[in-house]
Amino acid sequence: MLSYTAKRLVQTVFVLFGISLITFILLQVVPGDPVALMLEKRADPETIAKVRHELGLDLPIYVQYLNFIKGALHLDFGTSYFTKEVVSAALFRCFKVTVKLACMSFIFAALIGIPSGIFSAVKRGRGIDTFVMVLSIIGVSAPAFWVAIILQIIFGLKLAVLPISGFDSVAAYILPGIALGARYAGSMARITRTSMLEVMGQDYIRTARAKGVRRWGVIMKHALKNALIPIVTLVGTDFGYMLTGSMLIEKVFSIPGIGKLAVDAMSNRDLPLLEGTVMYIAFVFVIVNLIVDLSYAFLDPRIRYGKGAA
Amino acid sequence: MKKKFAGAFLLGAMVLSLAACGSSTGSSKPAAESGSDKGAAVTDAAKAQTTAGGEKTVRVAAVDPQVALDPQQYTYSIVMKITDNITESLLKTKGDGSLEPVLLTGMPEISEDQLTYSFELLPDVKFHNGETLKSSDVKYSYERLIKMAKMATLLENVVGYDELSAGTADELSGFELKDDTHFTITLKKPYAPFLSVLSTAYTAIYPEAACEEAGDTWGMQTLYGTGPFKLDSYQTGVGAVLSRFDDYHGGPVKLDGVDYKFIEDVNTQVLEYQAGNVDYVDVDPSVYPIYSGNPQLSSEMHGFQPTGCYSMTLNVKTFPDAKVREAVALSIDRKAICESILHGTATVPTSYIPAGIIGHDDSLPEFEYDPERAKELLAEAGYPDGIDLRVTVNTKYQGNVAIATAFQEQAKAAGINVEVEQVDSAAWSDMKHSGGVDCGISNWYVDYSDPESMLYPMTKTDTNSSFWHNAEFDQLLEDGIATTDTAERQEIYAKAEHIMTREDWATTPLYNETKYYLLNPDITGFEIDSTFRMFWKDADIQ
Repeated sequence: MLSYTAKRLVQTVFVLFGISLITFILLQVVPGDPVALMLEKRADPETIAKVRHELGLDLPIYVQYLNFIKGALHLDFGTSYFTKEVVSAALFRCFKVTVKLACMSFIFAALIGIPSGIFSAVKRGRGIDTFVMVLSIIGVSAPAFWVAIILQIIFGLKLAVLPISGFDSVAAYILPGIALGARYAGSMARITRTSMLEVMGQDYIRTARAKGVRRWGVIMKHALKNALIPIVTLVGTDFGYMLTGSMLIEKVFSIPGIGKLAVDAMSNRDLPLLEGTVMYIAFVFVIVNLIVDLSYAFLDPRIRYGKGAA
Repeated sequence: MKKKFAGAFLLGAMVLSLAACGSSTGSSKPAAESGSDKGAAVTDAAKAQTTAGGEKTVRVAAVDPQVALDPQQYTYSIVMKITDNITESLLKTKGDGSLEPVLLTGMPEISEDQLTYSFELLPDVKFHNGETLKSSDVKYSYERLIKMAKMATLLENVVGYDELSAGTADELSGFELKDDTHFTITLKKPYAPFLSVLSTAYTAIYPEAACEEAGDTWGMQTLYGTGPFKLDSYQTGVGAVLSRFDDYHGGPVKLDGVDYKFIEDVNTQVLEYQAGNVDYVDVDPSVYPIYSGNPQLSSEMHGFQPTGCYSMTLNVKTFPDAKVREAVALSIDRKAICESILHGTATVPTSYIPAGIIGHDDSLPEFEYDPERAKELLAEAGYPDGIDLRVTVNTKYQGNVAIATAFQEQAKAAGINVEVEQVDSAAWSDMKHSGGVDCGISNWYVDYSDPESMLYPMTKTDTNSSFWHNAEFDQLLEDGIATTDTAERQEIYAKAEHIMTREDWATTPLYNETKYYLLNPDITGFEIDSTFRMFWKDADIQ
């Protein structure tokens, strides 16, 4: 298990390296020059050249990349071209906000999605099952920004019980948490239902029932535990997505999180900030996937990571 | 028990979805309008709180500048919206375009040959850090503007500009310090808009020692000026908090502070206004039709016409024949665009130089839509079968995307086959500079109330993407800045404009817009000018 984890962590370094290279190359190919954007108004070619030099953009591309790698090894991605904020500080500042939003929407999605999925599977084919599944489709397909505006109008403006925007109180995270969590709740409900139904058709469930275990005891202890692997896979990656921020939700609710940071960095071609943000997002996904993989071993004793495995 | 548990969640899910479904019957428009009746009670209650606490703080919904609050480095109007209340320039442009002294005892004296300007500073003007304003701070600020490069060319006519800009000199030699309150500035050649330039936010006066010490943090953590409010805090993504400066040289300030809240989404901004959480908000054109019909808000909505216009620019490298450019200008139906896409918030222009600025010729007719004539012109130019035209628009301005799409349809009648290309801001700036924009839609506003500010990008730089140059036009602009007589300047700039928009057709004006904002009716004395500058100095909450 330990050696497997170590191996995966080493792989992570290569994955991040590859991603950084691809990002760097893409940014050279995509049209858009941060300097042109900075000097929108009255700049002459000499001024542009001067600023390019100051930012080190006149260096050969491979030198720029090596400089980036050198810094990245020390978690130093440089400073933003526009805000002059240290990139790692900006990432941390936005991360703190995004984590809160991610937790709020994750709690909402998991508390609504997983129980509804279980319930729906148990009541399979009944009206209530159809109802839950219709709701989940609405949850998955309703655009998040639309849900957000509706929530803002109802709870923020009309009922005036929750803040319309902002991020300085727990209450402020409720509406964005719901708006962001709705589609995850929908997909969690569906995967839970499918997975539960598959498990509940197994022989051991019938055996357990025959032994006289109470119905909900069977469902929760025997069925759910065995149905968890696909659920954990989905829930884990969903949480990863949440941790990388949601541009739309953050914009609508004025939450300065990772999503907004990434989009701003992209639209400004703020290269240091963009590289830093991409590295962060890649890191989150790699780590979340690793945790999900490791959790399989706990969920299903048949899965063992060790010598010869993986 | 567990059944109940699951049921409770189901109920929760139901409530949520019903809330969402209930509103799906109508578009966001009726939803927003219906918000007004109940929202009204909330609005009034919350607005009252502003004054009940004794604290007179105005809350402004603003767009996050994401950069240092330093117009010398970042030339965005959203930066100046904040800094204009913290820092001051020597002079101020009033609503009628005339200038008044702010940090000076009177208007500067100008020598006979129009080259030397003598200034006298007000005595005992304090910066927010307690220091007294001195002539050397003015010199420092102007030299810094030049070193910062972004808007340096504003001072290009000052003696010693070239040397300082090129780095061969450390000082601006045309700036002569006499004593702590007296100094002169010498120009290379007469430059009529010079004093107007000194009224812009770019030429705000910073305290030398503090600004030097702050270095890169100037405008982020530290910003001192001589203005009515001092900067307490600024956090990108959050907001900027300003509080009254008690030693303000311009007399007592009534407000206790101004609180800028950064709210990015234009709809959320207005919702916060409706809920009474902000006192001022800009109404974006995209949400204007939603809220303009709302009786609760219409009396609180104000409009102004910014000095500038939206125009369509043709790259003369791609379209060297002026006839082709004229044909393109004739094949866009400006009136239809103003009425439909812009919901009547815009008018068809008669000239590129907007009304109120020297050089605006009010005898000219509106730019017209004449696809038949356009077809003839194309035939004369050797394109009887029409032409293909790639129109590039910056997606930051969604209105432009809609306009380009309408143009696509309108231009068909003239035999012009329009392809719309959408790019983001960074790509847009890049393509403009590198000549990659054949036909672009963009806007331009004056930085100071002078035609030079309007026409500058057409001649000195190629930032307007047309790469058009005309010797006569360039000469007229040279003459224009060297002339001080208003009537003469009127003639010069009207002629220059005629060459640009009605002979060479390099740039054709599309529309003059009206900007709208919502303001808490309890607030008096608020000032916003046609160059987007926003002043809370004389404001009060009743």
